[in-house]
Amino acid sequence: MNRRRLIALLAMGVGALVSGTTRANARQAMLVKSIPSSGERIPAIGMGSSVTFNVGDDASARAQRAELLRAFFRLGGGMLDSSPMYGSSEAVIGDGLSRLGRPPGLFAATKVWTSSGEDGPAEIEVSRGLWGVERFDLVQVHNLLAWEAHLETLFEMKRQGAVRYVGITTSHGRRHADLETIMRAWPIDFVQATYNIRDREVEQRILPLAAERGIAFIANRPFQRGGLIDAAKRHPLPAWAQDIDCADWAAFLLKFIVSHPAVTCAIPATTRIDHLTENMAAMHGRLPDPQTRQRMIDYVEGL
Amino acid sequence: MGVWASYSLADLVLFSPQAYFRLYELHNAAIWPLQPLALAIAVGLLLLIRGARATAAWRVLVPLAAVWSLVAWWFFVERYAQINPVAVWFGAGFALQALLLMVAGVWRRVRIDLAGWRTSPASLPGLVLVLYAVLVHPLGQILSGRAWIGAEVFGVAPDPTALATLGFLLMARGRAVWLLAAIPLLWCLVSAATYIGMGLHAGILTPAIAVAALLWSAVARRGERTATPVLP
Repeated sequence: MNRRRLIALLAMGVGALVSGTTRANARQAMLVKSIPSSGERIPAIGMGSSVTFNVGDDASARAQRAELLRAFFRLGGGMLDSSPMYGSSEAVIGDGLSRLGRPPGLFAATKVWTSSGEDGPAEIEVSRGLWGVERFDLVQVHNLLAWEAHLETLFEMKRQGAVRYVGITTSHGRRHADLETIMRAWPIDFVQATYNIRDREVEQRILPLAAERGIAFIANRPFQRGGLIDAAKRHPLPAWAQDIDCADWAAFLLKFIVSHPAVTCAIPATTRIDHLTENMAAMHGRLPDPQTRQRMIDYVEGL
Repeated sequence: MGVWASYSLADLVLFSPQAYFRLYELHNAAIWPLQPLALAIAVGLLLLIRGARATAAWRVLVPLAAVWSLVAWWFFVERYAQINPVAVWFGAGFALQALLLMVAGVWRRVRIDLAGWRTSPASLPGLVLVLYAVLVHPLGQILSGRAWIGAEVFGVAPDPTALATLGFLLMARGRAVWLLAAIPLLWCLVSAATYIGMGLHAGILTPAIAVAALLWSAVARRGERTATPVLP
């Protein structure tokens, strides 16, 4: 057993312990999960910024997003995920963070998204400037674009201490075979892919492989860009949802995701503080066990 | 190609309808009072080509070139590119259209004639399309719930500019007209794709109106050919 594997197993043990603590202190404790490669714990609900933070120079929208970020950190949020692909999102995040005075809980995650490996470092530096952070906690190769060259850059940056973690991303079930290959061949810290109660393809191979290799998993599109939760809200929440402390559909759908042992963090996106509050509530209370998770799937598929 | 084929329009449109519509509110506020000037240009051009008396094409094409270049820079590069990096390329397309209109207007070897809408029934679809672009398009948006300050106006917003340009071109005769119509038509499709990507299927209306006007014009021109010849 190598050192990395040992750390991964210890980290998962800590994660499980924290989950147990969460159940015990149903209303107080917040669900945090461990990054297997380091053991560092991060809140299980983060925030995505695709679409929602892309508001350009609109001063009133920027001010509102800053308040959204303030609420996010007040409610215990940590991981904020973005990409150069998302238009002005990184600039708007940076603007918000500067207004908040660099919140201590921030786990800054972005991506490198350019088809040229040579352009990767410059793009990351631009992103860092837009965010206004000293360094990123996590930089991921966006949608596996020019992944080999970018991974070499990112691991070199990690070696030099310019970035803490390295990851890769995909979405909508694309290129899972390539994802698996990279997860087996490269010592990445994070993998990000689509996972929600309707899109569960990653349960077959990606999530088990992440657990086996000690790779943290970020679940994107937890509400299918809003379509899933909008559809669910037309139906009543099952009465037994209160047994897992779900007051609304947001908690129901997010608890399904973060209760998977191999999932580290889910990153729902929103522009509304009331929705954000519902999302963050998923870090509190009891989590579904495997039988309840299956019941959740059956219920949603029956809607 | 295989990977790109797996992307839907929603994957490629990475901004919300709120952010998109807000662009127009900010744009209109920033360029006021260019809107009434642009509308006056549209009305003035319609009056220029109303009668049987031949009007030199440059009088229509050159002002149109000016508004296309304004939209290219002020809307696409200065505004829209803030939330959509591809908008710079859209702006390049609008700049190219401005250049084509200018060349067609001033280069004597390009033969374009205008047929007055009061005397040529085949120009009626063009008149209707211009009126739709200038009046109905922005009013419809306001009636559908968008803030009046965010209305898309001819000469400053791309959709009504493209539609009105197609309308003016439907009142023109000459082989170069089809070349001049290509980019406005293409933009109507891009606009529809953007709306559909935002989950707003009403965006299909813009290319649908353009195609309906083209079909109407084709039928009207066939009727005109069998009746009286078009004035030079």
